[in-house]
Amino acid sequence: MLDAAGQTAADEADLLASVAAGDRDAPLEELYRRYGPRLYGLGLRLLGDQGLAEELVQEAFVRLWQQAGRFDPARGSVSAFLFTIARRIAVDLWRRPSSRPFEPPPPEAIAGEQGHDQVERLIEGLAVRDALQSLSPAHQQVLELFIGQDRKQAEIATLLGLPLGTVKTRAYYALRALKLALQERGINA
Amino acid sequence: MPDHVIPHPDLAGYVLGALDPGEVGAFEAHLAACPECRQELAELEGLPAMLERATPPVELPPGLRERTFAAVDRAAAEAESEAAAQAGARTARPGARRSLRWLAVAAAAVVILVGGLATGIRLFGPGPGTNFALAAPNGGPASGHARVHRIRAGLVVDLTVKHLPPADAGHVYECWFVGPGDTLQNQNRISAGTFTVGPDGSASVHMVTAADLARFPKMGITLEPNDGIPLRRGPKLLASP
Repeated sequence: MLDAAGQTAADEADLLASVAAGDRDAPLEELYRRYGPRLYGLGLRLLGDQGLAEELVQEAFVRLWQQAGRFDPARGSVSAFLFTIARRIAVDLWRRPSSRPFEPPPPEAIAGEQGHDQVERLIEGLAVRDALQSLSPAHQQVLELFIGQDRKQAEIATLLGLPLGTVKTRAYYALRALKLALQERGINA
Repeated sequence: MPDHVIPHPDLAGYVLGALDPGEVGAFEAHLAACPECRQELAELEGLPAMLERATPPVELPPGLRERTFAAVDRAAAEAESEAAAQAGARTARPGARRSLRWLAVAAAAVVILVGGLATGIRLFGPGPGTNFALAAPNGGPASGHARVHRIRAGLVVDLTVKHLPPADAGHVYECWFVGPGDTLQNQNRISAGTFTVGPDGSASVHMVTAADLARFPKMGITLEPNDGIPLRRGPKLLASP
């Protein structure tokens, strides 16, 4: 029996195998649905430019389609495969002479020795944001009210205009839903 | 299974640090006696720290999905025409028929482009405005003229066309600025806008686009399916030399 993370990895390996077998429609659309926003966020953070971030997303899916046949599920997840592709593209885009009129030094995250860990943390942060955004609006709202504000639950019940018991139940289910959404993105918090 | 529907009602508040000191004491006393709640707590207590690592929300540009899949389709069409070129006249693989069709279309596009150049219609300008004389690449009766001038927001295009072939409700005419090396598979063009014509095939259109004339120095008019896909797929009706 696979847990949520294992199940997601197995599903995504199947999706990419269908892409490798020549289906560029539904399986690739599903991978875009899952990863498009995170790739765009990665591009924006690494390259600091919306146009370049968009190019990164487009090129990442072109290369994912081209390289799907090389993916080996025994060696890693689709997520790791795709983000490795995306990082190479970020390096290419940064170095492309036309990318920026005045040449600031490439950020550590792209070019530096310590860049790897930094990008890993960024990819994780993007997955957490993505997980949060996949929750129902009610769950997102209750978590936002609880996190980082030092509010007590009675205060949150007043803010939402809901009975205290409802807020407690909702907060619990929001945490459960978040846990699952994170696992589906390969994160065991 | 715990004996309550969810774990203790204050478990989430405890994990999220939203209990009063009195509630904390009561919940911890419960916790000491309840293995199910301890199990739940172990599973959920890492979440608040993880939430703080979330990157700020980002808005995706509209149409990114469509543009991404258009890029994949272009790469696929290119790979197919390369495969067809390599396969040559060998016995067809599955899919080769489709590739050869693409190749034929590409070859036709090249012929049309060369034909358009050979007609030698003069391009006026540059000057305060640039004029494009448009002619049917197949020598047909359709013709047109466009005057393009720059404003701060981009390029204003004043286009007049005559004798365009009729189009049904599912199609529109599209005006393009075309750059070097443009083919159906590897498009290097930018749309100036779409339009329809009257019963006599004529129209007078005013459009604004932010195309760069240095990159896209030629103009063409095609007939496109009115389905929102922002690529050239239809026949070329008019072209500047």
